[in-house]
Amino acid sequence: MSHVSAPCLLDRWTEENNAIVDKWKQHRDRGDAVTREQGLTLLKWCYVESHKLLQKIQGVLAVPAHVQLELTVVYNCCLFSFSQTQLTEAEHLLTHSLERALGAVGCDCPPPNPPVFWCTVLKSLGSTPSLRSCTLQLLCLHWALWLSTCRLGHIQELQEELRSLSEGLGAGEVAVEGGAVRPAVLVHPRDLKDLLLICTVIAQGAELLCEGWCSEALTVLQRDPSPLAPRDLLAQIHTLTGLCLSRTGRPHSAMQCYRKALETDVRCVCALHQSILVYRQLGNTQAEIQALRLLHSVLMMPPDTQPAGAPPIICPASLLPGQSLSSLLSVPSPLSVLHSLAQKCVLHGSVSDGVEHYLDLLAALQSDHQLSQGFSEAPSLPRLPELYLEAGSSLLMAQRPADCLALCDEVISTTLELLPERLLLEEPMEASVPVSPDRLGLGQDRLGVVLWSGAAYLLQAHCYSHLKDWKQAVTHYTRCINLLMKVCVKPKGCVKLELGVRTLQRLKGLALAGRGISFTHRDQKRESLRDLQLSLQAAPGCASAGLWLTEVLWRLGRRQEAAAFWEKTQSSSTAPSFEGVPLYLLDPQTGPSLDLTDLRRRVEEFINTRHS
Amino acid sequence: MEGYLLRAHDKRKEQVLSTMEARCAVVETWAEFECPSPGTAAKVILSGEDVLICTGSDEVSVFNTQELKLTAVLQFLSPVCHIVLSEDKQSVYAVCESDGVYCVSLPTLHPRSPTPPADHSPGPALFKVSSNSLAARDEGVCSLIEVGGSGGTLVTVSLRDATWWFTLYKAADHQKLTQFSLPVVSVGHHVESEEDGAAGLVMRPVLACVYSSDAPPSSSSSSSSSTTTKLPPLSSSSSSPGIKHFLLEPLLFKLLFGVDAALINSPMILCGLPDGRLCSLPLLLPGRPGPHVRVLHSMEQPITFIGTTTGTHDGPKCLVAVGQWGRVVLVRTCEGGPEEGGKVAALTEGCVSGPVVCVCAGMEGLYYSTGSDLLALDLPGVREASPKPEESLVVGHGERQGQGQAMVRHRESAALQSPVSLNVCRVIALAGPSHNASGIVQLVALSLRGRLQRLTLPKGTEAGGVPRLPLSQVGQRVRDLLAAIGDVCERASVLKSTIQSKNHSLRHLNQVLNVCCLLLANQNSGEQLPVSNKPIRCHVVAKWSRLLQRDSLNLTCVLDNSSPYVLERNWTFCVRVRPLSYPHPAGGDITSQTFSFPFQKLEPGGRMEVSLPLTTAGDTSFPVTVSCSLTYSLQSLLGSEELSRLLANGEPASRLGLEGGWVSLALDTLTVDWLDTLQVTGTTPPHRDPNRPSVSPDTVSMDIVEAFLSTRRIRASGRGDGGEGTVASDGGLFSASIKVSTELLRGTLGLEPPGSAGPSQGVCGSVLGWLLSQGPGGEDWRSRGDKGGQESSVVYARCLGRHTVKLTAKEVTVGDTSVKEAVEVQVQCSSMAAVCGLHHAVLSRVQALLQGAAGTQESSMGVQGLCLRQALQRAQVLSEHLQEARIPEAIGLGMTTGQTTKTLFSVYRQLRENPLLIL
Repeated sequence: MSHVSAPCLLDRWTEENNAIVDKWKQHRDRGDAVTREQGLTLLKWCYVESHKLLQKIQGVLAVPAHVQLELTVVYNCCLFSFSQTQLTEAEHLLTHSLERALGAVGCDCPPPNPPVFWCTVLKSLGSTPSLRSCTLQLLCLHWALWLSTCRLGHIQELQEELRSLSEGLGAGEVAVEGGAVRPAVLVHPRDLKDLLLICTVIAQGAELLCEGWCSEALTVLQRDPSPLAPRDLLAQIHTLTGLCLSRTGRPHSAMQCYRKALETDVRCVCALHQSILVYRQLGNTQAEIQALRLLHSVLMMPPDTQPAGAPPIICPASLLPGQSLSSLLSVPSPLSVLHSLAQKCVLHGSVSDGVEHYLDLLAALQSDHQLSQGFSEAPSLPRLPELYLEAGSSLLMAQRPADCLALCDEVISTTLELLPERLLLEEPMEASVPVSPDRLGLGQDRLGVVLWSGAAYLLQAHCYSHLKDWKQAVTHYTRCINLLMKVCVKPKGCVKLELGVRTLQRLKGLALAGRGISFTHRDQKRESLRDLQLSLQAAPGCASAGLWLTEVLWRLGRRQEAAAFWEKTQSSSTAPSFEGVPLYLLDPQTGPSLDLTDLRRRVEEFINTRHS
Repeated sequence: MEGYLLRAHDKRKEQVLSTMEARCAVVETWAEFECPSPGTAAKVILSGEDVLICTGSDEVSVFNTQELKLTAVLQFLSPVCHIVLSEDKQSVYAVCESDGVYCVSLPTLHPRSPTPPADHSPGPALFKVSSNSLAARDEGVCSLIEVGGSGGTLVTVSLRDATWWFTLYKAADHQKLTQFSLPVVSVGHHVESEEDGAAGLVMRPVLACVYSSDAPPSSSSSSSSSTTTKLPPLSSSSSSPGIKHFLLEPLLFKLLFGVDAALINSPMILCGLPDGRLCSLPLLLPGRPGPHVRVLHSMEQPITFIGTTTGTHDGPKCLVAVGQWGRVVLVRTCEGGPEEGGKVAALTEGCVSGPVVCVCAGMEGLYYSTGSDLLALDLPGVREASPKPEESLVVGHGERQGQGQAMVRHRESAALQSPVSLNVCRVIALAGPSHNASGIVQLVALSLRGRLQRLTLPKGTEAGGVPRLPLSQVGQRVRDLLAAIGDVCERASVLKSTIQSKNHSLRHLNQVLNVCCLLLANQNSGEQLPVSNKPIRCHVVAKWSRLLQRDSLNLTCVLDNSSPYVLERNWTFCVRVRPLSYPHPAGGDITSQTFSFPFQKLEPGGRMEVSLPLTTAGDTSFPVTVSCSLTYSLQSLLGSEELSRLLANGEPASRLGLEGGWVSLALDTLTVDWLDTLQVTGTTPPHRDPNRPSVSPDTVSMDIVEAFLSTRRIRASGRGDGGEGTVASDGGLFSASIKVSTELLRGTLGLEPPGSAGPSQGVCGSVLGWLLSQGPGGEDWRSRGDKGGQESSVVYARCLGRHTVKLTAKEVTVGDTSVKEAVEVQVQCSSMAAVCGLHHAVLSRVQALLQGAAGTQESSMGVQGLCLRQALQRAQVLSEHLQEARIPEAIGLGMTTGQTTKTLFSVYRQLRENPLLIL
């Protein structure tokens, strides 16, 4: 029965298969004429139809004459499944159909272990010329499935077979050429193979890089890629190569690779990001700022408009799901980039640009446009109050005290209600941490709230002293000091101080110094002397406090002490490092100026006369 | 489809108002939909005038509450398991089981522009939602929320690979923005949903969006310029019910979500997962270290509701989460511990009886349905100040360990007030509340049977108990309440008095029935009962009284109540006086007079004496029958309506003998005859003026016969026969006599036998005494009787019409052969009527006597026979006389009428000469 009707059925099924494939191809070629939604709907329809067809085909006993058609339909079917991200279904379908095919040609079922399985399959089916091509198609497909499920081990084991694919696929095509009606395939296996090849290189390289095998990764990556590979994938390979080079201590070569990557694909932001890191490493601030600016503008570009028509059946992203790769190629969020840019600008010269960037950043945070820019878990922004304070201090640096006051007001009003009456910290702070997060609220912010609020008062006081409103300045410095006094740190003899505590002490020092300087201007020399001395006790590294202390002592007529102190500060002129200290904890640069040369002259004259 | 629409159209209004109106919501059914299939979460959403109903089928209905009709039906490709309204109410998001999230714009469903008549088309519009409206293709979506209108964000929560995925989409073009994950803790989601499916509960994550109440209206509103009718999301969620966006007091917001979120006014997404975790996800916070989705608390039961009350203006001070099994968690600010001070966020846990099927937030509390009842839960501390720290549980595992479980329980019980039942059952979805003009709270509900209902809550049971009033209205409210209390008091007292009067009536009726039984028993058991043994009896005395120169006869009835019952008000003593024989007047009515005397209160053993005017002298024909009866009026007891109702019922009333609402019980029937009316003047003839006619000049009505007689007498005197006085006195007197055997009298009157007592005078006196004493006048006579103490055999008395009557009793012997002793009682009077009446009276007395002593004498037979013969002879003679008198008239001879009359009268007189001896 089946034998009689077989040709007829075969033709009909072939036609059906071709109809589905044609419909999809037509749709794909039409391009812009259809919406993405329609494309998705069609894809779903094709998926359903092809599965129906396969069910019909597999409903009858496997016959050698059907095997070629069946395997081709399975190929198409699995591709549709792949597009619907039904990977396990596709894999099941694949192995099941191959087992059927093996049964049809009279072979035993091989064990499910993929390498062994495929060796058997290729041996038994691949020997038949007519079946070889479609068997290899399915091997391609299986490769794609392994890749997209990160089973690189299987790919490694079947390396030889996979490499020989190119010839086999070409041969199969020739062999089939003679046939009357050939069952159509959705994606040409050779295209698929090329894509898979480059994706495998990237995946393997990334894996090795993450595991620290930089040189091995480099050899993998430097295999000659096919020049026809998609640009973005090529750029990724360049970037990864650059990463390898930079990790093996060759930043300049790395820069070359990054440049190549950017030349290949302008949108390869991660290459740009990596080059920024290299600039930072090299200390080339101006280049870094340039690159940051570029990176930000690229990130802010509207994303690629989705290909209007249908999504491709297989996109590289679905073949490269690896965690290692995405972590290597990750890029900070635009806001984070903007923040870095602003900070760099303020610290390195162009304060007004920095201020603008800060303001842009704050505006972006307020709007919900940031949502569309995507989240990224990578280097994150500082806490928002800190960001406000940084912006505030940059405003002050840019001689805009009024704006700074307003920003600080916002921080103060937000934190005001949250301030604790007292705060007892035990060092090391790890001991107290476990209790805090359990609180329903944000217990771990308790120190933060005090510090933010204190810093805001400090900045405001700086503003007032900048405006030469000494009374207000004293008031705000006092507020800051009173607030900070609520925190009681119980030292446990740790050498290295916690960041929070260091910030606290620095704040105290700055506030006391500021108040002392303000008292000097109000001609309250005694209070000034007391505060400046306390400031130096609290935070030894405050340079201006030392200078002002000398001045006050001089003015009080205690020249001996002034000279002694002067000598002391000059001798221990190793300026403490301010790395990682936030902007707002830097010495105020806009405060009341002290005629340093005059002081120096006076003091040195005094010392000289004393010595003589 | 058609049938279903028809069913939806068949809207019924049923007002269920129970007696306990204060606690009962009024349920008004608007429409009926398919029964929500168990296992799907039915949902109603109130959006302005429209209600969106999702029952778990592939259709979402839009019902207009103003026109009360189904205006549109959205038909999806697959069953809809969840719907959510967008913040600007312009579109609705539907989660379909097999596709993902659809977004349908609502204004397209309301083509307001077409001409109004087109709107009157009968059926609702059917909109088929195609896959073009698919917003997000994600089959695992369980729940979603939209924040910030069309320019905002869509957040979906889906369960995939043992992970909760929070996915953010752009609301405008549904472009996927980012995704956060949270691992599932206990994979009990599906297992539980099967179990709960039976109870009609489907657990899906609950999403809510929180803003700080000091935040300016969402920044996203600037980006959505197209929607002009957009409500700012912060205009208190009470005005936009159905949207789960709410405000929180800034301090609490900061404490819960941190300074960063407060600084940039980030909306926070709160998610209550079925595993009981309460998570928060900031919408606008990119830089925060740590996971984006933060677990705030674990309820340890599926979360049904997250929200706040909607009442307060400066942002609710309390965040509420309700678990499926009734755990209620309130999050509020409270003072921190003494060592640090400041404020902390604290949890208060409480419990209500579950399961909590659906919840909606009211002004100051929650409304929730347990499936069997709808309850209003007042949330403590919403109005009051924040709780003291020791009252609430500051959640920290370290602290929790230190506290005993009992301590926590104690707090739980103290934390919540007990919910108030609104007596609406089977509510599975709630929306609202809305407040109508008079401040009455209305909810929209979907019942288990698929009925869309409007619940109008009774005033004052708004969740939150007493609604907060502006000061100006407080006075009014107090007055209203006082008035209401007054009304209730009044009603209560009315009811009390009704009960009292009913009791009173019952007691009365009991008395009445007792009396009735007593008297009816008497009537039935027979008249034989001696008068003296009757429990209620009466007797009658006739008395003359002289008033204004006129003598009048008064009848005095005395009622003796020797029964054990009190005769109270509503009883009436009726005396009916009727002439025994009276010429029927032309109309045929028997003229009878009825006198009624209502009782005040006649205690047992008491007596009542009433007197009634019987007649002025001479205008009544005697003898008269006096019927005494007791009547009871039901009308005065029951009132006219009730009585008429009782009478309309017919049978029982008539069985009781109630005609016209009166119970009438006969007591006695007495006769007052001429003897009773006699006024004994003495044993000697009264002094009289011989010229003065014996007929009293002021006698108004005179007997016809008497008138005739007096004319005759005048004529006789006119003839001048001489010795007129004697003639007049002798000839003018009529007499009648009765002979009664002495033996009989002795026997019945109890007199001594002749031998023992000397004079026969004794017998005659006793007989007269008996005759006169039996009647009403008897005692009178005895007291006025012979001064000598000797009983006289002659008595003079004045009778009606003021005629003097002479009563004589003398002993005679009757018969020739066997001499029989007898007493002859003779009545002599100038008035014939009086003679006749008295004769009749004496006869009737004797008859009564004879009845009592019937058959005691056998020996009288002979005498009887003798007398009969004599009587026969006399009758023959009389007959002849009569014939003679009639002959001249028959033959036409001119005999004078005077002669004829004379003859006839003599015949009559001879007839009266009764020779019969009564033995």
